[in-house]
Amino acid sequence: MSRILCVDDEPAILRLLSVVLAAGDHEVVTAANAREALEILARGAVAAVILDLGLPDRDGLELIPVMRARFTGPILIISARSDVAEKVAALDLGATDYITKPFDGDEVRARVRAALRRDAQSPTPGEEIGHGVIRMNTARHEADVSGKPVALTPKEFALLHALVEAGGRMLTHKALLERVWGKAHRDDIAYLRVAIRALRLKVEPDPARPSLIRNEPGVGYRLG
Amino acid sequence: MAHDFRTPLTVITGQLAQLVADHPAASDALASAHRLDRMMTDLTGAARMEAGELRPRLESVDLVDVVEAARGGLIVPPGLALDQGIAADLPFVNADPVLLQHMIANRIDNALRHARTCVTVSGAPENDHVVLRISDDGRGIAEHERDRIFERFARAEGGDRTHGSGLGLAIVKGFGDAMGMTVTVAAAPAGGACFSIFMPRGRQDEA
Repeated sequence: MSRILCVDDEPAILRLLSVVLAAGDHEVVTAANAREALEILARGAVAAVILDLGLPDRDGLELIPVMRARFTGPILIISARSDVAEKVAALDLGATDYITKPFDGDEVRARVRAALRRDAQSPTPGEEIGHGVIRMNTARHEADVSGKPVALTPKEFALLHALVEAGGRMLTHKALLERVWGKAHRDDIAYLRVAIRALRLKVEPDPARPSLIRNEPGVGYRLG
Repeated sequence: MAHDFRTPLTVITGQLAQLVADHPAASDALASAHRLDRMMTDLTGAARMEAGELRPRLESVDLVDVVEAARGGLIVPPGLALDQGIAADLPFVNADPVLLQHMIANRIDNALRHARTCVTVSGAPENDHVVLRISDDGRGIAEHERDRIFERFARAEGGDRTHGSGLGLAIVKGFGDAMGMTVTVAAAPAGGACFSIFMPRGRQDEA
C-alpha cells in the first residue's frame, strides 16, 4: 500500500480522489493548500503527490520546484486548466505527469500506478533498458521491437532511448529536442516531427495508427 | 470560466462513474455529464473566437498525430465504423496542433451523429496544400444549406439523432479561418456530407 498525498482546495475533489485511490489500494493523505502539503511532505513516508495547480495560497507552478527540492518521487499535476502551455510548464518544472479534469478514476489509478512503478525501477546507465515490446542496449547501439532487431540512425536511437528511459512518462517537445539535438535546437519542432515519423515507420506495427509512440498535440510524446 | 465549470463536472462525472458500477441505469446521467463537458469545451472555444483571443501557434504538424488525438476523445457508437486512411507519409501541415485537434474532433463527432454506418477520414496532398476529408453516409446537407451550417446554433433540416452544442461546425470554420485554412462542404460519394479542410503544408526539415 502506497501513501499518496493529494493537494486540492476543493473538499469534494479530495473525497473523490480518496475513493478512487482507495480502490487502487492506496492510502490517501490530503492537504487543502501549499503550506499543509509541504508540512506533510517534510514528515516523509509519501510515495507520490497529486497536486492541483489552482491553490489558494501559492501558485501551483511555483510550488513544483519547491516540492522537487525536497521530494524525488512522482508529482502528478491535476488541474482544471486544460491549457497545454500550463501542462508543458509543469512538466518542464519537474512534474512527472498530468491528469486533466474532468478525470476518469481508472485513468487516475493507471497514471499513479505507472508513476510509482517507474520510480521503483530507475534505470542504471549502461544497462539494457526496455519498455513494453521495445528493448535497447546502449553499449552495443542495438534496439529490437517484439524480438525483431531494428536498424536506427544515431538520432533515432537517441530519441527512442529518451522515450524508453522515461518509461511511459510524457516528454515535452522541448525536452526531447534539447536531449537529442541540443539546446540550440529546442524550438526546431520540424526536426522532431521528421524523426518521430521515421522512427514510427521502423517500430510501429501500423505507422498510420501509432500505438507505441503516442502524442498529445502541443505537449509532447510518450510511449504507450 | 472553464476552470469554474470543470471542477463541479469532475465531481459529477467521478461520482456517477462509481455509481454506474452498481446501478447501470445511471449510465445515461454519466453520458449526459460527458456531453456537457464537450459542450463546455465548445463554448469556451467559441468565446475565445468571438473575443479574438485564438492566437494560433503555428508549427509543423503530423496529421497522424492530430487525428489520433482527436479520435481518442470520442466514443464511436455501436453499429458505426470510423475508418481512417491517413497515410504515414502524408506531408506535414502548418497548424496550431491544439486548435486543429479540436476542429477535427468536432467534425468527426458531427459526422458520427449523422452517419448511418460509417465515417471516413482521409488525407491527400493537393498542390501547395494537404486536404483532410471527413465524410459520413448520412442524409447529407442540401446545397442551399451548405453555407448556413457554419453559423452558430444552425441545424440541418431533419436534425440529428443526438444534439451537439450547436457550436461544433462554427468552431471548425472559425478555427480554420484563424489558421489560414479553407473548409468546404460537398456531397460525399456515399450520399452523406463530405467536409474538406485545405491546410498549408508545413516544414519538413531533417537534421
